[in-house]
Amino acid sequence: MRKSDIASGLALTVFGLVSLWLIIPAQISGHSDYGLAPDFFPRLLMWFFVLLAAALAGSRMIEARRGAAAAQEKSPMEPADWLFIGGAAVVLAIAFFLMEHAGFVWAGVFAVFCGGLAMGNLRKHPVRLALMCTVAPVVVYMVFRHLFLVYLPT
Amino acid sequence: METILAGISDAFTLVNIGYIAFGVFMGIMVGAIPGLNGPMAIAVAVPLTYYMTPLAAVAFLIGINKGGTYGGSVSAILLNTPGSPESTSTAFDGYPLVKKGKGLKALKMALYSSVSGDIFSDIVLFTVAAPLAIIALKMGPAEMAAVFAFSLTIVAGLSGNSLLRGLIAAVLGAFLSTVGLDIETAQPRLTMGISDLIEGIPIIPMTIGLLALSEILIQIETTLLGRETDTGRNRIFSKDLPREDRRVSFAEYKSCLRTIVRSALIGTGVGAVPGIGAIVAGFLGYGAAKRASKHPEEFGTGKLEGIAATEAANSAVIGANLIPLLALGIPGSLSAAILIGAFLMHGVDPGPLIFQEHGRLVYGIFAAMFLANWINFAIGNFGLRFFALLVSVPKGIIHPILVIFCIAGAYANGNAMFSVAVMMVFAVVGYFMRKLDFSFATFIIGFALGGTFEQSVRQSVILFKDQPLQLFQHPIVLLFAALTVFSLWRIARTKSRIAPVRSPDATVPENRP
Repeated sequence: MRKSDIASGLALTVFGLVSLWLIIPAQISGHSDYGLAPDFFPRLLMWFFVLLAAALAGSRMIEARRGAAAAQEKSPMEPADWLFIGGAAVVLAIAFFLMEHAGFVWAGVFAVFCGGLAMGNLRKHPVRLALMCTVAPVVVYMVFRHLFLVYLPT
Repeated sequence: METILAGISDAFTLVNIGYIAFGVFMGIMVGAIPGLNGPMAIAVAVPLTYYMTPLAAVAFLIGINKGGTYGGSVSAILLNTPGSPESTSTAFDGYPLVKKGKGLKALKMALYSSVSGDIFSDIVLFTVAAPLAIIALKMGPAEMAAVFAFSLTIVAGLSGNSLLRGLIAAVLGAFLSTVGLDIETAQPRLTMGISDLIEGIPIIPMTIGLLALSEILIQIETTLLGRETDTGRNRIFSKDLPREDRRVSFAEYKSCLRTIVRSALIGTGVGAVPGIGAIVAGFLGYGAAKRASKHPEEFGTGKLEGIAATEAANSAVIGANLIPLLALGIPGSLSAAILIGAFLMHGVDPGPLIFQEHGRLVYGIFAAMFLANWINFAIGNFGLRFFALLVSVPKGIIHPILVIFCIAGAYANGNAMFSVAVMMVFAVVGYFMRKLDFSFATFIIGFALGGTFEQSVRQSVILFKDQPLQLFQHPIVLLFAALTVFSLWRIARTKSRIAPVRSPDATVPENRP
């Protein structure tokens, strides 16, 4: 995890510093007529966060200098992983949009289809996938409506 | 005494028993599916308890937790793939027993020892939580802040693979808990102009995203990118098998009793300390049984004691986890952190005052926990065939359907699309946390503790701003400050030396909380 720790440690340090100098001053008032200012605790935590993130990156850099094993280390995020999570985020965003504008069942049909497609169902079990897409969202909708009294959007 | 009896009688209603049974059934079912676990099911189920009474809701969720812990052993034994990480060492001896045609015996031993460990830790909870809460009530904000800091350190250090990454996750979780109105001045903080964030980030959709949906995304990715290994199936219900291979005799249970009690003690001790969790308890119980055995070389070859040791230890964590939650308001584990959300949803603030303000409810929960153990025993026994069948349902069916359960579960929290958005955002965050090995359990516990931690820190700063040296007159503060420093040093030292214990054969789930 050495390389990814260095990268994530540095990224988190930058995030922490941006939070301290830009986000917190813009989003939280630093003034209170009594007691402590509202930004006291978030600021305190963010300073800790920056210190820890810098320590993570720093300690792994020192380790990397000492040992050569890091060069053969497998990255936890390969290009295929980035593509996958990017695609998944798009699918989730579309499902959200569908749920808001067309209702839960349509969003469900879309989500089950995409999930099934990724699991290889279209090639191996197309009928099963079609059944899952049509039946599962309706069943979940009915169960939530009648058993748990939760009215999902229609 | 009247409160205790009233609480117990509340638990023994038909409706509550029904909810507990449903919870246990759901827990075993989810726990038995590799990759899914109890906390995941609890997170999705919390919003569904909105219309239940507080007792029914908590009893239902505790039922899921108890069932989920046992459920994890089903796939560990049958497939050599633990349904949940805490059952990893169950596979060491469970799977060899399946190979010998004694799968049913292994499953039954797992159930009996799981229930035994659970009952033991529940009894400890019933006797210890209330006296501890009385002590906690005598503590001031400085003492509470010190206890919170100590707990967060322990949680961060022990629940992941790296102390630094754990601390980062805990601090980030606590930081995000500051989103919403300031507790003193009621000024909005970090809301980015989004009105839904005025009340803060909702913990339940966040947990569903981090725990459930991100795990499903990882599993889908594993299949899509062809990183999965197939596991063979075994027949364990065949009538050709001799009767003694399909049951656990009293003599066999008795021979494991010493191991079960030892593991239950270990599990209870581990569970009472925030952050260590059932995974460590399972390994410790297994290790202790092996060390105490006259034939340690037989462990890993299909020894009933190995299963009993792991299952009694990891199940004993459940009850003990509630000791810090109920007595101090500190969630000892991921499940306990999610339970905080359930308590708050029903207007109950977990912490030392809970015994005064909701005594009847607490004793009702205790009775429900005890009841859940026996229901777990019954459902586990009679439903073995069904759960074994469930283990073999293809992931291609389960995972896509679970995605829509997550969406529906998130929406149920406040009937708002905002909750769905929060769930989806944290699913992506959780994906990265898993990939980069940042403990999401620590993150959630940091988030759950953040509000009360802030309150204690702010009160302490105001109290001791002018005379900080007065803190030296508070021995509890000094004790916990020293403990925090000492544990940080110990954990850092141990982590650099110890590599995780793994069986060469068992397929351990990669993404531990």
